[in-house]
Amino acid sequence: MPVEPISYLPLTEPTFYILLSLAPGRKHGYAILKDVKDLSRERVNLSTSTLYTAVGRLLDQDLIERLDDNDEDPSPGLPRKSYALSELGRRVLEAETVRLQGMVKEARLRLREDGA
Amino acid sequence: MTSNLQFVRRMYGIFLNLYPRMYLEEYGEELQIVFNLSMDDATRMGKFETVRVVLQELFGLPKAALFEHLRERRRAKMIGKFAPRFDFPQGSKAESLAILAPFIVTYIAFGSMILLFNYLNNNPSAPFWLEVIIGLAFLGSIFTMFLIGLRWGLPRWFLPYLGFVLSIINIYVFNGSLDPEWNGLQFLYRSSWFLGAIAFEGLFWVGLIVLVILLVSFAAMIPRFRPFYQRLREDWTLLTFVLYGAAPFAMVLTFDEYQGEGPYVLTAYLILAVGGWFYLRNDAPWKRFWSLFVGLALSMAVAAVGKGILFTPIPGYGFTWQGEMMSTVVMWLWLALVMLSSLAMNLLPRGKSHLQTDNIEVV
Repeated sequence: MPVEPISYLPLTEPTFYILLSLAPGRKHGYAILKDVKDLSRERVNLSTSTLYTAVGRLLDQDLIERLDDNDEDPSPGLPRKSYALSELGRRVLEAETVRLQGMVKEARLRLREDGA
Repeated sequence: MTSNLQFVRRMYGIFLNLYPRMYLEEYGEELQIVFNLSMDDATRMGKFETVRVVLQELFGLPKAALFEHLRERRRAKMIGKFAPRFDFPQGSKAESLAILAPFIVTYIAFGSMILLFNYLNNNPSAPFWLEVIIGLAFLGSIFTMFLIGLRWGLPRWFLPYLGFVLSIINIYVFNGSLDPEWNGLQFLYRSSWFLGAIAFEGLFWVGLIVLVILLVSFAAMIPRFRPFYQRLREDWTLLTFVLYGAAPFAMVLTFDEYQGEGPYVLTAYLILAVGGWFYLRNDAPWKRFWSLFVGLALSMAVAAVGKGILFTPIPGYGFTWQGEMMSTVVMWLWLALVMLSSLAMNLLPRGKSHLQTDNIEVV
């Protein structure tokens, strides 16, 4: 039975940023950590363990995939595994973006009404 | 600063052990690398950032580890695998201790009671109550370990305890149907004492094989126990290990109504413990099997010699020391045959079980 992306919504802020971080392509754990910090303008500052708890949950939900870097030449000191957005994960991220857009649109309309 | 950083990294590595074992095997290295990179970045940004990152990691890790433990339990429950709290790594010290616990308890009880008794009373002979206490310590620790293993996932170390309990069940179930006055037995005894003894012992130990067949059949049929059945299929020596658990009970039986058997029983138990220890430390199935087989043979040899030495004739009965020793040899022959019966696991058809699916491998 196909899983509806809407059933995963709403996403928590860290989950949204982790998925967003992986949208352009695969990343190592540390790259996700830094990217989430940058994307959220330092509001979401995950610890290593919190990141991996979230990553574990996203793997269980099939929203991301864990990939082996054996076929490439890994840089020294970098993890040998990386993570990528799955097809389902991409659809969930898109659905969440649409939901957030709708919320923002409604909020702007209402705020404009108030200001008028 | 560099040495401080090294210390913090090492401490983080130690704290990682709070995670479940399987999670640590999968993500441990990655977590350490990401932490190291975070620390490198933080130190470049100054002391304040370093302290902030260290504190954040320090507080985040125990919570995350607890969460992973809960998730592992939930996942194990979902796929019918039991909680792995006492499923120690194979060949680890914890697993060896779990298997040797009753022997250690018995030796400590025996040693301390003898020392205490001799010291207080200056009497070298052990009183009857001392034997009762040692027996209770031995049986108590066996049943405690049995219950722990039964509750927490039927780990490998639990299997001999299962065998011990099965052999006790066997004596209640089959001993009632065992009639030494039965004509067939009497006929065999008259024609050859050895044949009669083999048949008499055989009627008892065959019961254990029947119980084991029932156990394997139930494990195969009941979904909750199918992972256990699958483990037996993957490693036939596990069943040998179950049956090895009957050996300590056989030792109690063979010294029935003997006095002063303590040193021989303790020596035989020590040999059985060593056999079990070698089993746990070996990876090759046949080496594992031989560890148990030799352990059983040597311990029964000690028991036979002990009976020969301790034997005192009872007037009116035709028992001889040779006959008493031979009865232990016959018992060993049957126990050896019972242990060999585990080879039959290899004869079962090897159809792909639904348990050999991907989600079992995840755990």
